[in-house]
Amino acid sequence: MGSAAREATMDRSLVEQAQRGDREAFTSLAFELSDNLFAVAHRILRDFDSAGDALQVTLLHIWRDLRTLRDPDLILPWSYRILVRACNDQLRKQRRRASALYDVRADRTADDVAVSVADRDELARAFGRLSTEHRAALVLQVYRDMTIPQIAEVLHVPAGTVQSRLHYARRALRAAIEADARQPGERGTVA
Amino acid sequence: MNPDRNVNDTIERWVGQGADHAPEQFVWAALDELEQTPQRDRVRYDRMPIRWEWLAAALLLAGVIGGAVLIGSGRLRLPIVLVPPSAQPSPSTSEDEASFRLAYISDGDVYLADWDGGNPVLIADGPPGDSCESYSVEGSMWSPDGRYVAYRSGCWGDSPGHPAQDVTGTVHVSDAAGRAVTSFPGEGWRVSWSPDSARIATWDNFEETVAIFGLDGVREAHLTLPEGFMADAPLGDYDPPWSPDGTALLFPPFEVPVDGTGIRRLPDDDPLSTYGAIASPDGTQIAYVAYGSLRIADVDGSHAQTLIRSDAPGAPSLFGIVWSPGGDRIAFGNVSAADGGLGDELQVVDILTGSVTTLPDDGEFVYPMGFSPGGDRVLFASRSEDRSDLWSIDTDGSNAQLLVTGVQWGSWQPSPEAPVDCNFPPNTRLAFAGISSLRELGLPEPPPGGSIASDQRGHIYVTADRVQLFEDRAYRYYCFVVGTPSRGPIPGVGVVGFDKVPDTWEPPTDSR
Repeated sequence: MGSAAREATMDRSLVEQAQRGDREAFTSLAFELSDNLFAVAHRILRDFDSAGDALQVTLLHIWRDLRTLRDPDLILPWSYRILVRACNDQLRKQRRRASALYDVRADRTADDVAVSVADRDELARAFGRLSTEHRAALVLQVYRDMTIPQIAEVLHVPAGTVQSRLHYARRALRAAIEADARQPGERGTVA
Repeated sequence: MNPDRNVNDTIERWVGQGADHAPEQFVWAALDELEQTPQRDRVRYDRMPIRWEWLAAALLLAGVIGGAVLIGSGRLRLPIVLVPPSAQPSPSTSEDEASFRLAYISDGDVYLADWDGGNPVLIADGPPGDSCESYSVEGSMWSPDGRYVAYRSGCWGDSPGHPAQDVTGTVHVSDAAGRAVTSFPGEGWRVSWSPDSARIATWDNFEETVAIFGLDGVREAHLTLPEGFMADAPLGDYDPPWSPDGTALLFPPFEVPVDGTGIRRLPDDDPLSTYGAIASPDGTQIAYVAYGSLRIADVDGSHAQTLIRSDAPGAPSLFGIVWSPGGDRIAFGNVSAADGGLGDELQVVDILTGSVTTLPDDGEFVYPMGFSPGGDRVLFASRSEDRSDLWSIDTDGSNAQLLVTGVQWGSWQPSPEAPVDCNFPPNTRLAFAGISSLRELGLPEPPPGGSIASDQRGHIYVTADRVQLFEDRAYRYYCFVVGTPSRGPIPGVGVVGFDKVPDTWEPPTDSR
């Protein structure tokens, strides 16, 4: 599912121009970054509008603090870190609103068909209990194909913490599927 | 097909589902707001210059300590270069505060250092390049009484020789000098010290069973949680804290008595029924965030008051609550109310007056980690695009100081509540390098205000109210200050070195 090929190559000079306050350059940069950021936010938050809000806050934050970025080549991991924080805020708001978290308007692929309805429900429920950091670690690993050290850089936590988060996140999702599997007759498959 | 692989495939397919393209309206909405969002200049770290004379002195002293520790451990028997006391950096805080310690983990290794990051001593060495058995911890490592530090190690799968599901977590406890006290199995992130500093609660099996260990490494209790007990809990990074009276563990909205008697559901208006509730140092008050507001209440739920309101401009989002030692102030992180949610601020609220002070910081993200024992300074992590550093700053926003670079978590030693006995048991003989008494060194008296002790590995630890230099014809001892004049000595990094090694000297195997 993950693909390093999805990783856009950022134009260093574009970042440097935007750092000098060039709004046109930043507009181009924002559009270059936005697919990456929105896709990750959508998978963390499982909510289309919340992901959009997180993207907006992230882009504004990037604009505001772009001059503090010392190495323009780090624009993407730096942006991911801002995005995860924005997702965390969105998640807090979601929980305060007690809203549904599972509105995934996916660009469906053939792979999706193989995930049963029951599994999806159980996975969504288990995923909904994960903290932002757990979700982010899992999404960055599965969807972005990032290594544990790379995720540790983004989340600003030790590599061991990333490993433990991945372990527990997967364990929770696995438990959800296995619990569902113990209930025969309630499983269905997306047509 | 391997069922495990099937489940993993299902998880990965589900996690990978989602939109791949950002709708343009979200991007344009952000771009429309650029006019109201000026760019910040890059000023980070520039206004907080490094004190080079301190750095030089610290490096010199670090070398001395490192050498002395190696000598003390028997791994190195070389003369050490002694540094006159005048070469030490002068702390900017009061003398009372200058001797508390900073514990932190860097690159999987555990360090104890002076409060300002100087004189770091490696106390637990994680192997490089292998996360297995490397050390990590989130939150404070210190016991509430400041006598011990605790940290975790673990393999979380995906490491060489460790299958993905093979989890081996261990909790390690050392004394304030870094000497190993005990270790026991346990999973989790933070270290959940009991209020009396005598026990640690840790996950035995995540979300299912909790073990409670004493400092002798003996498991005192094993609590099995009812099935589905954690169904509404936020998964992960939750290590069950103790109730302020130390009789129960908190799993909001439940409390589980550690003696195994009945689980109790806490009333909805009980502040302890909120996740993240933090007891004040004296255990009489609780701070918690409810609906975005920072509130405090007495431990029984009475006298609740709101310190920071959720309807304040910018709808604050608060995190990282830490009490001052005196319980009169609370530091916290605030997802920048002033900046419309575009960054973090480090703030301190005075409980009596309600006044809020925003402490200046140029990092993008900040995380408060604790107050100094005197309550005058705040320790915090400042995180930017490629690193996280530990800083401290006065509570009035002045005197910011970079302590350690490249570290995500650190904690200051709380002030010990009572002096700890460093004296020998009666009739103990010091066996280090054949010395049986201070008198043998030609020193009839213990150092002023201090005492001398040894451990079972034969290290000598001297506590004193100031740096001491002892000499005789064969040996020279250089001892560091640990403890405070007003509170007495505590076990600490009293390092002994010598510059004349007898040919016949061998490290002792037992001090008794």
